[in-house]
Amino acid sequence: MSDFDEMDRDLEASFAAAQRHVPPVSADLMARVLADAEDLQPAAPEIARPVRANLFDRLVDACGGWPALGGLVTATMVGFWIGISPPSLIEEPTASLFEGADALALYDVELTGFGWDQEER
Amino acid sequence: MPLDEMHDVPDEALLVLYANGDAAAARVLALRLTPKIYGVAYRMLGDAAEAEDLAQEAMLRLWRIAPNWRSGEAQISTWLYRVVSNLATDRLRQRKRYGPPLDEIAEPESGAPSVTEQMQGKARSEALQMALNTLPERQKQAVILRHIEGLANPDIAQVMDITTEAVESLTARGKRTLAAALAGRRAELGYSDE
Repeated sequence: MSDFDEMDRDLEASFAAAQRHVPPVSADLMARVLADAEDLQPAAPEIARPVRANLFDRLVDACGGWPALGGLVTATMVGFWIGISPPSLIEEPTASLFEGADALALYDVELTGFGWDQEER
Repeated sequence: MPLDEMHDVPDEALLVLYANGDAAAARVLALRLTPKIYGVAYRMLGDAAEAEDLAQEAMLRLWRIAPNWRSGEAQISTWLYRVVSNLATDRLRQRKRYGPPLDEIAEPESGAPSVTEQMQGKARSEALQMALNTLPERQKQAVILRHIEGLANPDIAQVMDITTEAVESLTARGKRTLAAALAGRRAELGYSDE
């Protein structure tokens, strides 16, 4: 074997030794690297609400979800109840608003606030 | 994602997870990448403390660039090798020294008739490091990336921003210098036994 071949072979053996004898990372270095990662970590973004495929569900979400819809349903029911109830049931709670006035006063134009049929001045 | 599921996740995906607030992704990346770049830094500088500074700085730059990492352009490992090599080259130029010449290194203790393989491997590795310390920076970088880190020449070309032919030329020259430097220590390092 020539000198060059020998030298080459020895060098390859040295490289192999260097690959096996890897300088170890100290615990201190790893701790510093991880501390830097923590310091520089961007904040997690807000988790978006999952988009639901069903059209009806998307409409519910658009109205503010089921809790909001619950309020809508309640308001609708109350309006329906007011509509079908005889006036006497309505008068009682609102009587305090019109002290001394009779029932017909509820329909007084000025009290109801509509001015459509007032003459222009 | 739990830590133990992350070990097969590619570097780039982990970096994206980190940029979105996943701390476990940072731990996996750090454990995976720090040893590689510390190894290169140590081989380039021949000094553990300086190598630690460089490794920390290179990883710091990775954490910083994470939110703006453009996927698909380069591998994270290639990018890190380049960062740490450039930092090492800068540090070497500042130092303007190459470590002690081989013949000034203290003679190893004589008397033991045979050296175990482990000790011999360690001695060879250290002798190689001393020889590496004498190489010009670019030859040293090319030899380390090729023959210790195991990168292919095209990847080294990307790290060093040169042609593949230039890499081959640098590694050839570097190896010739190293071989000559080690030839004087053949008997001591046990090469003549083989």
